[in-house]
Amino acid sequence: MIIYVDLEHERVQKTEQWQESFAKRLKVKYRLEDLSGEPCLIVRYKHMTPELVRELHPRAVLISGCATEIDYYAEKDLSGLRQIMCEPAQPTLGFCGGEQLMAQTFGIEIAPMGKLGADVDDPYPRWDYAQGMAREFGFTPVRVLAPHPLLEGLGPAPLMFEAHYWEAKAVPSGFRLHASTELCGVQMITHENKPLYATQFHPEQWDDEHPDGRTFLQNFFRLAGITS
Amino acid sequence: MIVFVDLEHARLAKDHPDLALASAASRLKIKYRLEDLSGEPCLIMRYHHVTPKRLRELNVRAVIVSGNTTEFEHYPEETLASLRAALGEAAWPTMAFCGGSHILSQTYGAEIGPIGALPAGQAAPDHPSSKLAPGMVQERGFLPIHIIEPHPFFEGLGRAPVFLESHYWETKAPPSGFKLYASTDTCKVQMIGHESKPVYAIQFHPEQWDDEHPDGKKFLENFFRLYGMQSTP
Repeated sequence: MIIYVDLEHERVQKTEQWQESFAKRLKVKYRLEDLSGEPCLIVRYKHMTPELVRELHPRAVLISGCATEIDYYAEKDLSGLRQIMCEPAQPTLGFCGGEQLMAQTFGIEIAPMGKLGADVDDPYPRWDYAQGMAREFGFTPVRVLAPHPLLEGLGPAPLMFEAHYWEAKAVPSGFRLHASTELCGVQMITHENKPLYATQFHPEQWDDEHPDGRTFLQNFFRLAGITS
Repeated sequence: MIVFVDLEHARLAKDHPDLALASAASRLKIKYRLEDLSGEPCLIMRYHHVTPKRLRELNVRAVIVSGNTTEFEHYPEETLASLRAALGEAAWPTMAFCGGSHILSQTYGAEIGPIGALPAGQAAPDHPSSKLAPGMVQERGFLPIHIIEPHPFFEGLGRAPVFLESHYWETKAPPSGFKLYASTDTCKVQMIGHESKPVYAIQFHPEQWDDEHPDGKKFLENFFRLYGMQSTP
């Protein structure tokens, strides 16, 4: 059993995006099952507690991103997830909003990358999310700064899916930085002695033309001792 | 832990991309509903992954089987065999909706098939899903069912509860060992239950309740309560 935490806020259920958001979670769950060979339980962020983890004893925990700003969440609803990040009993990997939550849990400020300059053309005019802000969107080369088993077989600049305008402003103490893009410094961090891994990018959103995310996740499951 | 079996076929994404998105989203929505009603974590499992061994290993407290939009002709029998074994073993409370109810009743020996062709001059219900079965008799939308035999699942629901219907196939008659609990005028086998196992085939969709039609929620609460599970506050 592995756990995939749905970090999306329940407010999305009342928006037009709910179907896309829900369908994406299910798609990623099935991908994670196919890569790991393990059943994958989706758990809403509010329900993640150390007790649940002790009871279910997952072999890995993966944390989704979210379209809702972390500031919007009630802190008490995040406290279980934060505790699990502080004392991870299993390999734990956060994507995008999940990465930012991990960085924040370890004391780092998270915030928008910045406003788009008045003289700068928006490179993604058709992406209807946080327009006017500096954003990364689509398959983007990520520059590898320090090797890691998760990056094995991926070369110096793997192509990963990006979809964000917030970022972690620095590398938390106890973590090491492994990858950056031009716009966003903290693209991949890992903890020096806890099994904690986080990416600003979305390896789980690979497609047939851009399969690097798939290799990344295969590396993660192998590192976690799980093979399909 | 409870298991929600996803009976949809992967080809739906190619056949009907619009319906596939709605279907996938609805699976997760229902999983969360089932968790809230039962107080148990709910693992969604693709139909061809379900085996009696996996269910035993997970120590499941209930197995719920979804409906499906893809025609059964696209499900090779070998991909359904282990699900049928689990439905037959039923060492756990089992409830199957719509397409799932057809697989369940067929597994127990019932005949399944389309309700029939529409008589000349009669139109299918005005509903987006009616296009899936042009010219066929079908039930779509929230409709009252008649209770034939009382059952704890109907507690608090009166004599003609309203549930979502969306189908044009049916179970032709209750298989041996099953009792009929509810019907509509169009489709006789709306709910059957096994006489000695906790196994139920439900033609309607209690899991698809909405604020104006909450009977499905009550029905599922009754199911979970009967088998010792409770909603979480």
